[in-house]
Amino acid sequence: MPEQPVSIIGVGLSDMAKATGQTSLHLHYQAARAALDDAGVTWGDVDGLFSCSTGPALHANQLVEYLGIRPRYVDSTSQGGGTWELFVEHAAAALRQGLCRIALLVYGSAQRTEFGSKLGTGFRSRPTGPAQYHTPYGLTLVGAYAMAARRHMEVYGTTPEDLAQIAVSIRRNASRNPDAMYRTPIAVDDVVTSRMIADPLHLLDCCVVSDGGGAVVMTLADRAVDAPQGGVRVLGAASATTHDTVTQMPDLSRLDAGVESSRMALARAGISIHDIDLLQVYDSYTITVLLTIEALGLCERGEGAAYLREHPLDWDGPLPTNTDGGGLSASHPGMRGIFLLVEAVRQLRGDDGVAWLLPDRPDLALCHGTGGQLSACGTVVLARQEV
Amino acid sequence: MLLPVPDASSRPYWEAAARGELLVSRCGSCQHTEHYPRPHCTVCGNRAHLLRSSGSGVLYTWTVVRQNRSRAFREDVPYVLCLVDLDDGARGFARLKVDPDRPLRAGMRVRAVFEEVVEERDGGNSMVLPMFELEGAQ
Repeated sequence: MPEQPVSIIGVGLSDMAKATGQTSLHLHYQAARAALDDAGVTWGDVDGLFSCSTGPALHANQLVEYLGIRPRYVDSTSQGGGTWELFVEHAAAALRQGLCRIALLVYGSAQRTEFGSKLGTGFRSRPTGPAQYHTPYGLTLVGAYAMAARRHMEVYGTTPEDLAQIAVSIRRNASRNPDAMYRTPIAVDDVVTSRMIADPLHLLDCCVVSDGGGAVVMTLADRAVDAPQGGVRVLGAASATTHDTVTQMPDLSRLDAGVESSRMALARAGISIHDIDLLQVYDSYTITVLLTIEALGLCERGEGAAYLREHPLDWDGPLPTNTDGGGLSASHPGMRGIFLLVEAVRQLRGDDGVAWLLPDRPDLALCHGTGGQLSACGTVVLARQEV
Repeated sequence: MLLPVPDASSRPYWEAAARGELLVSRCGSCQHTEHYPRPHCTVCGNRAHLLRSSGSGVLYTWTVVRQNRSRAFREDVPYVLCLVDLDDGARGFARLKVDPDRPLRAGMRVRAVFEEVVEERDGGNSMVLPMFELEGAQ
């Protein structure tokens, strides 16, 4: 028996700003309220909750209490920024099993308001467990991604300028989004002459540090016909995990988790990566994007830089990517996976309120989240309802 | 730097470091070799044993950390972190004791050295941590 199709029927964002002055929980509320209104469902309809945070260990309990919802199905899997793509896979399974009827995927963080900017180089306490083998030496989050970038450069000859072009293209996309944190166009030279954070990654190779929240509402596709915005079909979703700390990554020049999650998601969707006409990828750092382009199979391994020279990520390029300006320029409130889904749905639906809509409405979008230290990936293939 | 907190699994590793030895683990069944050492094999799940590594290998990748705002590291920057493919088969991670501006290439020969780290902020406690340096550095 074929799987019951699942749809996204609502998306929403909280206040999006460098520092909102709000609390993380209130940003969850704002995003959830906006998404539920978009979906045309009520607070009491929500019976599935999918959320994690970098905050309290019992985040889901706290969120249930704060929002005042009473879910009968809760998933608070926590695998870093790409967890919301994984949540789409999990929510689809729960909806098909009848474990819930209305699934709310939500995230919010006021990290900039609460902690300021640390670029993943902040306080560390004396390490226990496996961290005792790397934290004593001063491994930072940027440093982890930098070692992957350096390995790719050593093996394939990728250059700092190749990585810089990714930031340049995504900034150009951000220039169309009035809500993006940084909108002034930049050049390759601006990136490679910006302050070095962890060689070979410069300041402008790194995502911004902002506040923000987002939410997605999912249900079975046969219920989506009643939704005011209709539905965006989830054609396929999958996830994979290979390690925690980058020192244990099987091969630092290849995003193995992304190879696996995208292969499975595309297979479940029954389409090829070359059918996709909108791409939303996790851009914690420029190297994350390069490794993702290769992992998705858009080009051969090691040929990401050459591919991007022919296929720039700009909104008016052959494959519009991170059309809202991504984490590199628009927003990155600690974990960004939810925003890939929100932006893809808005573009697929052609929402009136989105000033940066693509002139040619896309049919098929792929969202690819990458979390931790290139550790865990989730891939989601979405289709415009008419397709 | 920060001192590690040894536990039941890691205590032999840090005791060996204090003697100037780098430990890895090797599987009794499939011979897979691993760093950080674990009592089991990450490939086949069978039992592994501790093994003294020669500490020699080649540079796999590295980064020069130029920003770390943590109090434990802000006076250390810039410093070099590296992953090393040890000749014994495992991939080790530590600081690379080298001028941060020195050009490096993957494949350069390195070897383990052992450095006593004293933490003034930690009541003057000290431990010996494995580091790497380029072969022929001295």
